[in-house]
Amino acid sequence: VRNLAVGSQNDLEESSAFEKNESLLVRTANLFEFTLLFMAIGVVIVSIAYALSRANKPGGIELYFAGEFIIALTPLILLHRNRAISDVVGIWTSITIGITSFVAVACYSPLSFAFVDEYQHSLTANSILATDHLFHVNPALAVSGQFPGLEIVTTGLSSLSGLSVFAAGTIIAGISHILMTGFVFVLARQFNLSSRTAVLAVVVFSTGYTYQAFLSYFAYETFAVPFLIATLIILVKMLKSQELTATKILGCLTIVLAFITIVSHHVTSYLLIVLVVILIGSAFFFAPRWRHRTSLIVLVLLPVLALILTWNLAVATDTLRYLSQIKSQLFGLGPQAIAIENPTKNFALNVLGTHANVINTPTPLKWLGELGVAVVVLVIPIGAWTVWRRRRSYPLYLWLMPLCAAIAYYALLPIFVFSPGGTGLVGRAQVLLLIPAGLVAAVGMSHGLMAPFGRHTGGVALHLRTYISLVLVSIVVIGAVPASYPGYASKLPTPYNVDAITRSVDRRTVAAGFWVSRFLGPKARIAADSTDDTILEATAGIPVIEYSANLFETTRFTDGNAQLVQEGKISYVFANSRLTHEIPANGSDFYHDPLTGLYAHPLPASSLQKFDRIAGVNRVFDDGTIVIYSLQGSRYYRTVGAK
Amino acid sequence: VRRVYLRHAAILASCTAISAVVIELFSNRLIDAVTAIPLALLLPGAAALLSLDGDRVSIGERLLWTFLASIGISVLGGLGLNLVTGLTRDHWLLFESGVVLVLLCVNLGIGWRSSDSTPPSVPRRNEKSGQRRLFVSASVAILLLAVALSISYVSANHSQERFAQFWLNPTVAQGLQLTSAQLGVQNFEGRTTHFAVSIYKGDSNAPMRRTFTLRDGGTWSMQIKGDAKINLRATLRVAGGDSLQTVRLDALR
Repeated sequence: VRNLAVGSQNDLEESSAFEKNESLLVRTANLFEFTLLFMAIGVVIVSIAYALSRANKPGGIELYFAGEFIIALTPLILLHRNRAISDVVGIWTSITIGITSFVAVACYSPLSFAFVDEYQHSLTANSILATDHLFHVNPALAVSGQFPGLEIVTTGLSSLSGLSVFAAGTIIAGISHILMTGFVFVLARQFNLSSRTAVLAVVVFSTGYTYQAFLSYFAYETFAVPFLIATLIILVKMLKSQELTATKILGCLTIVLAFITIVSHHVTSYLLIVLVVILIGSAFFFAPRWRHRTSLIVLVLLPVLALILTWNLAVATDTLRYLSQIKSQLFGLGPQAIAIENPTKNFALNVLGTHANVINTPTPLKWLGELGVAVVVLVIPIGAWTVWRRRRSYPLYLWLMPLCAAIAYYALLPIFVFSPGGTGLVGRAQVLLLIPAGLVAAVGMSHGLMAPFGRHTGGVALHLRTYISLVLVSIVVIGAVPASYPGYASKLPTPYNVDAITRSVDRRTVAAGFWVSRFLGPKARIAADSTDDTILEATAGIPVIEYSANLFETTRFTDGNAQLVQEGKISYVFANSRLTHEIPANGSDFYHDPLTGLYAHPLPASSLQKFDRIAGVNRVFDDGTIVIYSLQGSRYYRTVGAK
Repeated sequence: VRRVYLRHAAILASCTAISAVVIELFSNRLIDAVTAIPLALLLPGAAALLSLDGDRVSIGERLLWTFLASIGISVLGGLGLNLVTGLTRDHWLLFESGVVLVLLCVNLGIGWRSSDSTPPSVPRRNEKSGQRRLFVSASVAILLLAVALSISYVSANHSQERFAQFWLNPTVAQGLQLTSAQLGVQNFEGRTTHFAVSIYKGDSNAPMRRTFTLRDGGTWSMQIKGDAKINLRATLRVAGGDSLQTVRLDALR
């Protein structure tokens, strides 16, 4: 509370006078207490929603959205009720946003990892624990071992504490997630925004497509993002510093933090380099005193560039090959080695019906999400205009970087609309770009939308504008809940559903993946449905076979199936009987599924049972739901051997 | 001011020493976890930031930098240990304790020289009352988050899938001629469970039976000598259950 009285010297807005008023500061603190409690209650409601879904009781999804809406809306009430907030309330609100959103995700799967990427990184962590050394080959994700920042800290904690990789990894992911929102606030303050606008920047960042779930997972991006933000903070501090010794220390810290980002995640470090270059370039061109300190700029920039080049060329040598998948995602080029045969008309009749049953986001929630994105898209130009108009207060040598990020944010739009596989890419790029672009959006919201908040003494028009503004900003934050990753079908953790991302990762499939890893090894070529393919890849390093749909979409083993086995060198079939009981949640059972979006009924049981009737096919694994067949004894596979 | 620095440094050094000793001497997982988490994630950062002016950086921001610094130091330390020795438990313990002590010495040097820092002011009465209220609210919020996690933990544990893995995997094969296979069961029933396995060779209707008990997560396996010309089939039944799981190795034709 003592710190409530500490006003920021950099604060541009009207808050400085306000912050001296102690009674109002106490009121801010009081409101923060309610914010804290309401957001925690929101998390409890979300966890009850998950418990209802696990117990197969109705009302889970409604309760989930109620809880998430409370978590998202509560900080806005704090901002709505206060024209200015203190630094302390601002930073703790930002930290609370991080904590509550992480705990809500942790409640989804408190016993084990829920996302396939997490298993890929736990393979790297386990190899470090087993050998006490870094840089082992990870068959599931080659680049994971080459960017070992996350795994170093996780295994260090695991070694010292005896905690499992899951427990240690969850702690590290949680701290990283909380650091993100806290540091976005600190970054916004470094860009001379008031505490209130800085919290708005955090709120905008938290509406990012992958912020809540993806950036809470045990994955290298989660770990690298806080280091990216921290590097930017220290660099901005350096650019603003007047004292030579402090400038030098901050320059050294920038290099160290950039290095940690570089060794932690590829794309995050590339974005960092771009942002650092823009910041340093704009300081050189728009801040006269930096034109006389060229040597200092070079001494910071050159080591950072040298480090990223060295790391990517000498250590992380698989990165370029790994990132080439971006091209295929952008242009929809699947590695389709074998043309996929369409199912016969008779087979299709088993599956098709009058209405395909894809679990889509309900239309009102979908519109809410799209409206929220639209509001952000409209608010950014308001923010950019405000920054430009008040460039004395928002110096261009700092703000050129967020403005460039805001332009890049718009460049995502055509990719999202026109690219066949753009959704995932845009979602992941959007959340990273929202770190700097969110600052511009926050300025737009603060000046364009939420400026009159708290001024209730005005006329009806002002009151009306106040509440319309609140509604618009509320749409942004609550619209982000249904629009965020993972999709509607995966918002609740259970019951298991085919093709539902995290909802398809259960104990049974993961255990089967570990069995495959133990007994068949990463060289096995296994045909499976797309969900299980990704789990097998993550847990056992099994290569995904993307053209196996027709092997399952026949009721008896056909010549086409035999040809597929031979040409694809398929040695095992992973038959998950849930494909014959459930309709795929997102519309397709397989990669490049000819029946995508058409499923009205599950696959017929014979589509899997046919493997029991093929001579020489061995049934090597059965857990009551998943059966693994070995084709190696069959004449079809033996022909592969003969070839 | 120097006394304050010394006091803080002494506290950090004591915490580090206690953590290191406890981790080294005890092998209880709970005690290790409670002491290792601050040693790895808090103390190195706190030592690094000891000389940071408390009046210019709020507690919240200091906490953020403390965690970030600790994690960053661990990454750099991990890369260094990988080059020098290896990432063993002992080396981690030595590194984390050593780095705290080195940083404390460096920061003490900086703190000793600085003379313009002001000692923390004494909170006034209304501030104390505000602190108390904030503390109560934060405690209630933490309790609520703990309740949320507990609800999820209990419900997830309760609704976990119960099953058993059953396999018959060729283990030794010369070319395609099977000579041996492993029959195995792993229990995922969530409790100690009795199993009955029946093994059929060829067209025989008189199976060889095995019954056994496995705790949750436990594994049972046996080697079966195979013959490429004879079918091998096995079934698994969970005691008290009516489902039958089947594995089979088909004869080569």
